[in-house]
Amino acid sequence: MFSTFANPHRFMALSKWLLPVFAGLGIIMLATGWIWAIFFVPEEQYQGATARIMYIHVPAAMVSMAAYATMAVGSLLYLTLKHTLADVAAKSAAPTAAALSFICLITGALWGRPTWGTYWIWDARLTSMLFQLFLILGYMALRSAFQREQDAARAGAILCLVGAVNLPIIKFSVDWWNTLHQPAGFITMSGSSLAGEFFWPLLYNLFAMMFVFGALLMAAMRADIQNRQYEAKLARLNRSGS
Amino acid sequence: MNEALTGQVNSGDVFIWASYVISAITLGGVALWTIIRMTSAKKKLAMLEQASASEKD
Repeated sequence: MFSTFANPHRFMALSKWLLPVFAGLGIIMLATGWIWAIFFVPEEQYQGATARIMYIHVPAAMVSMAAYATMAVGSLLYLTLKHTLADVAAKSAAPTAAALSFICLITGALWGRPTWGTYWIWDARLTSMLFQLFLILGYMALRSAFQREQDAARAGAILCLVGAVNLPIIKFSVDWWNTLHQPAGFITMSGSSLAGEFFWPLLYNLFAMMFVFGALLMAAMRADIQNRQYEAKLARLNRSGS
Repeated sequence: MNEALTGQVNSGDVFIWASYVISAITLGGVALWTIIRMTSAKKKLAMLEQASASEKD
């Protein structure tokens, strides 16, 4: 069944109509979600208006980790099943994963200054998220160092899978260590600790960010597939010409 | 100095706007870069297909 969906031609046909749907939903939901968060969500009792930063910070953090997980699953499938589309997905998710990790770190710092009194602290959650950003940048740099796509894919996949150990560290760092960063409260096994007036706009912004990520991933995958088709066709033409 | 001591953080406006502006610029930048890559790949492939088709003719 996986091979059926791992066909680049089928992906191109599917993403042709799915991409505008995701992009449209992502843009509309992100714009309305941010307006909701900035102008309509009430101030939090202790954090005041500063809590409005959470409506970007939390979705960016969660979707950046989901983006890294996408890279890791793509890498694993490429290494085990040798599916090119899995490598295309891993490679294409990296720039958005890096951008979302960056947004998470920057908005966290901008929230930390008025709330904690500092932009940065070498706390386990913050440090592991910074490590994720460096890992993704390292993955992109490593891939670009190879000339042959297969070598780049293999080396990148190994690095990505080794780095995947950081995902549970980010998630559970607030439980395993005594951190300044607060523990999970938005979505937990026992429900949410947030009141409905904060929970729903946060959930809405999370879905908005997921649609944005989905659209950017599909667009980047389409570009990569077409680039590979171009390279293959060019090589074929050169062979037949010589 | 005359603000009531409510225990609430109340100096965040510039940080809130900075957060949203930086996020919008970053996401917009990635989206623009992706769109440019997508359109140039599509154009490149179409040109090659056109060139190879005219060569066959």
